[in-house]
Amino acid sequence: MVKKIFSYIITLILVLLLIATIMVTVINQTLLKKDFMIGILVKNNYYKEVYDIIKDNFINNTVQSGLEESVLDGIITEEEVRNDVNSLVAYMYNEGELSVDKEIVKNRLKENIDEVIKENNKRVTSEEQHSIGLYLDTIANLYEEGITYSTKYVSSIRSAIQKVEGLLKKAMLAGFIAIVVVMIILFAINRKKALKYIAISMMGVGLLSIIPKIIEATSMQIHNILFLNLAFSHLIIAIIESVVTYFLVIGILLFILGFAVNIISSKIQTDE
Amino acid sequence: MHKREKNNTIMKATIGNTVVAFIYVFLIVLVITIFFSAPISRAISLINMVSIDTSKKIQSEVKLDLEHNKLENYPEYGTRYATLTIDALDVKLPLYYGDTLSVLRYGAGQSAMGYFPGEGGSILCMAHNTSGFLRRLHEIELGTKIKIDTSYGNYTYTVYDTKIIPMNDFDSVPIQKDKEVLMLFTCHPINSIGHATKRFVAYASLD
Repeated sequence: MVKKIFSYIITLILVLLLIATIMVTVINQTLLKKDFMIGILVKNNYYKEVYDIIKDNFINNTVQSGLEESVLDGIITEEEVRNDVNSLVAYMYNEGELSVDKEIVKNRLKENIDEVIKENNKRVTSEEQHSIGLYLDTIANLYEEGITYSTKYVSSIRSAIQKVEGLLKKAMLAGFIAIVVVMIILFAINRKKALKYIAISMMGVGLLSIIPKIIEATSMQIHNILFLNLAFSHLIIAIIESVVTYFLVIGILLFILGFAVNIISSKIQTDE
Repeated sequence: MHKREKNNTIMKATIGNTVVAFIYVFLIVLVITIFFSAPISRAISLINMVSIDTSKKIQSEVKLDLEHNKLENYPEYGTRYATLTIDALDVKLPLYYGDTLSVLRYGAGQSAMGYFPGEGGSILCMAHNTSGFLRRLHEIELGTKIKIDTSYGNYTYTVYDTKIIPMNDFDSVPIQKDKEVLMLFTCHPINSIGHATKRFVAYASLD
């Protein structure tokens, strides 16, 4: 009896260890992986959405500038937005430096404005020169904000990722070792029934891993998230959905596997 | 052991173990609910707080409560709710509730900082100084009528003053609650290029 109670307690510990290790592994394989993030950006057409938002903001600011929208022609391309967003992501994951080049945008716009002034033989007063300078700065800043939202937050995210990455790697290793140790203990207590307890743990962890999906479907209005802008909102939605789906898939697989082990262990015990 | 009997035993053991797994899940969820329900609820409400169902349009009619001089059912931010007309300048613009640049692309905007026509307080309206908008506002003369026609009433204002002010001179466009003054402004000077740093304001009182 004591042996049985002890086995159930060890099983509970195994369930907790497994769920913690799964959580750490999922976070490590999703949120902390640059390739995962880039994949989400590509899948959700993020670059195009950001490009459109930046262009729209440029136009909003140009309507009041006394200049035609055509001054914005060719000052940014979707490819440049893609490169700058990718460099931002790389920077957040500690690969390279942040290199959003707003000066290029500013210089190209200045060239276009100079051309308009030349074509119209317009005399530019010093006050207008100042206004043009402010307009150029506004557009350049809009580009940078469109890519980074806020350089301050980007730096915070970078340092947070750096800290968490190291911690989670250690936690993952510790988790795996602990799981092996607990399994050895289970076998040591009762070699014949160890498989049964492992099956129970796997099924339990499988069911627990499905819970985030249930919460997402019943209590959270994820699809209506509206934060900063549409592109960013779509990104947040996609990240949450991907992480929850990871848990769901792992949960279903573990439950099926656990159930199979359960049948096998029941069969072995019956045979014996 | 008979084969059928053996299968029954296997099935019973399998179901029994599965029930134990469910009991474990139940216990863990119970413990989580007892000890971590507050942070989990906070996280869920944080997500729900930034979840806005934009597919539902509020179509309630905007009305003026005459007794309290207050609007019932304010228009949705960013939507058109009135027409601003200055016959003397040949201006007729859709008036939107909101003053973001994306709103101002399509007409005149009304700042959410001020009051609505009919509420008895200051109304702050603006539009670009480009053609089709308020390009000729600087030509406005004292005594000129500015009309705002809303779904709940028509209001006419008479211009009593004009000013050119620096872009960030908010003291020149004070919001007051006891006097219905329309302050209509646009960027200044016109025909300049770049980021305009001044504003031309026309002050008009309710007739």
